[in-house]
Amino acid sequence: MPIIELVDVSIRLGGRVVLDKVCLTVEKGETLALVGPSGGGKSTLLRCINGLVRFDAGSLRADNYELPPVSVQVPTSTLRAVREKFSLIFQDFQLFPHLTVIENVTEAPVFVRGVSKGEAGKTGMRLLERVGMADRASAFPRELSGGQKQRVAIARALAMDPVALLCDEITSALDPELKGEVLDVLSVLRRDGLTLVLVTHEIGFARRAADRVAVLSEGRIVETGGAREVLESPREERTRRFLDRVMV
Amino acid sequence: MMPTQFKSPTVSQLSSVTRAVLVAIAMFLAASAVSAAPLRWGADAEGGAPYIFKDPKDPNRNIGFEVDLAEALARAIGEGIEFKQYEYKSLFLGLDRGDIDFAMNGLELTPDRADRFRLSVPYYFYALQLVARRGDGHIVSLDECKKANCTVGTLEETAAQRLLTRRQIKTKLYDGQVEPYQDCALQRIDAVLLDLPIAIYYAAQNPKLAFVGEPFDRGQYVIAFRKDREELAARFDAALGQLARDGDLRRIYEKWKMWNDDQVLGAAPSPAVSAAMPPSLSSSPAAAPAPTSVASSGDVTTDSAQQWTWRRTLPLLLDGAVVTVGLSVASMTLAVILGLLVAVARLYGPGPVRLIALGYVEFFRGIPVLLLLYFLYYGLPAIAETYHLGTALRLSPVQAAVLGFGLNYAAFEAEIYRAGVLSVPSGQWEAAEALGMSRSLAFRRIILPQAIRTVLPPMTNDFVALFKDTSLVSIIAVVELSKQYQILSKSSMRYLELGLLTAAIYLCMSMPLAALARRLEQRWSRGA
Repeated sequence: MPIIELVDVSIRLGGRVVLDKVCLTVEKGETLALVGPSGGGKSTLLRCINGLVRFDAGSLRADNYELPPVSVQVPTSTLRAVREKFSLIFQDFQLFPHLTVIENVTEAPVFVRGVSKGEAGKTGMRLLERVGMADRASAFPRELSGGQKQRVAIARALAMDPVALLCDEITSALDPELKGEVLDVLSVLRRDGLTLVLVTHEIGFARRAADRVAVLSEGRIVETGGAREVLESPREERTRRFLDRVMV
Repeated sequence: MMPTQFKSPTVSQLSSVTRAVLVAIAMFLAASAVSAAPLRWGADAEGGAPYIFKDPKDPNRNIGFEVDLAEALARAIGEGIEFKQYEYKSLFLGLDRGDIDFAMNGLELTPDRADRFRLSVPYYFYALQLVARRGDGHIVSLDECKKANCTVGTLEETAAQRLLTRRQIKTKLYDGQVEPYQDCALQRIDAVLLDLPIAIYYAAQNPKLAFVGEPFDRGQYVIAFRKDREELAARFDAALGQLARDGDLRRIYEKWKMWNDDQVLGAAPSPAVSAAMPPSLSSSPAAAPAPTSVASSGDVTTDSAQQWTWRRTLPLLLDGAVVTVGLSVASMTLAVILGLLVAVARLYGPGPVRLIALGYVEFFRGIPVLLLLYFLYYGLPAIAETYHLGTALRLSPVQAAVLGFGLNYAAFEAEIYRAGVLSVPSGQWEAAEALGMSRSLAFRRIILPQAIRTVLPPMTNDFVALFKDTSLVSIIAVVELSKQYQILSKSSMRYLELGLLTAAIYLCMSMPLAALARRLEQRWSRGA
């Protein structure tokens, strides 16, 4: 059974169609890249999966949680549980600037889950080791480089024991030489069997990091398939046009 | 590395500070609510010679002929009398509120006062004395003043003021009796019309000033009670009669150089209205004491100002400083809590709540805090009386002050906090929610700590401003640092020395606060 399943998910904002009957599945342990022109609805789709954005029509299942359209009331406890399981990572990191690196990682386990500070601290240090940031545990975010910040953000997300990471353009704000360190972390997570959904407009990143690619344009899924086959020999005209534009 | 310092510095420390502050407030309010058994005598000791004023030799003590009189009365009625400092203009309001049992402070008998209050038999017959600069020949009488369009200084709410208004003479009104004579000597005004005892005490010793003509327009000083205190008033009447017959009153007035032939005390109860007194009386020549003789005869009425000492004055100023600090801390705590609630209501409340919060901000930001203090202290009890609510709304001076400043400053704090919260990027909300935090948890743990860093400098500003604003509370009978300065400097005439000392005390209080704020900012600037 797929771990994420969207059926005919649609969103209208004013007169504009943001998502138009999107159908998409993500298998457990797989890495899916969502690519497409900017404004195509990629980030919105990603936020639908963990309930940060609610949709108007269709149905969505994430792990064991059914998320109905916005017209149907969902208990906030369900929304919070989905967000813990499907952790979102941002392009601009959004670390908590008033907390140290280790506090950023332990904040949610301690105050959302009620884990003891000692326990959370130990787990947090293990996670920081995993992303190679243990030696900066007591630094504040503004003392870190962009790549380091993104690695801490990943550790912060991992602290809630997610089944999947939803990554929203997480390398786009980084200098080329810093992208590598984040990609390295992702490949380790991938090897460990974590499900990853990557929104990106960087084709190289998608090709290197993803098993499968879905192309989203003007709110519609244009094409899905293996990363190599879609990005190197696209079947659809719209995919080709998009690839031509970003490859220049 | 062990995660030893991941305890957030803000919240845990703030909460212990908040606890300590709350305890301090509770103690402060409790201490102010204690009531005492002796009769409470309301009068204004600020520059109040020779009635009641701080002894320049020992500012812990009040002296004056009314202090002597109060002691004699206490003996005669066999009950303790306790002095309560009360702004002169507010004495009758204080009676209404029940803050004091009686007011005795050179209050003249007037028809409207006799109407509203139970007044005692007179304890002194006063007259008005015109004073001008020595050698300023063109002022020889009030009529001349009017013709020459001179400005005459006097005290607010007195018979002299009413007379000047009636005669349509250009008048300058003062709060205290020291200042008009000073201004006259400095040529800011041309003459001063005040009660003879005041003129004797303040003007007779001043070589720059001279009495003009004879005292005139006699009247009576009476003690005021609320109308429902008839029993108490009757005992005072009897006691005054007895003191007059035994010669005690005469001894007191002779000590203060106030005795003259006008004093027909202990006779029949006072006529209802001073204006009804036969005009022939007002030209009696006996009353005018020669200024020279007064000036030469030392003891109580002269040059006590030279006896002033730092050692006795400083503790009194520090007492005032304690009140200032207590008021400021209590008011600011209230303002911070209330301001935060209002800010949250404005930001996240449902429609009507938002409107109410906006209304709160606009209202309390827009009205002067002085008006608010007056209303809370004097207005609320009147409302309570109208609606038969008993003493429910009768706030103590300190309670009224803390509430007034708290309500006022909360409006400013709310706007600062709102701006601070809005300055936190919306991505922080999203990040917190993406980790499964509820809105309220995200606000408390993520948004608020960041907002606090932004609002710390303007908050420090407000706190320092509040420190100084608390000097307004003297109008509701709280003696804090500024008021203590005014009282002490008027009795000792050491305006400069005491002024510098008072300023130094204010700085000693506000500068450590600013330093603390700077240190917090520095520490936090590592984050944010």
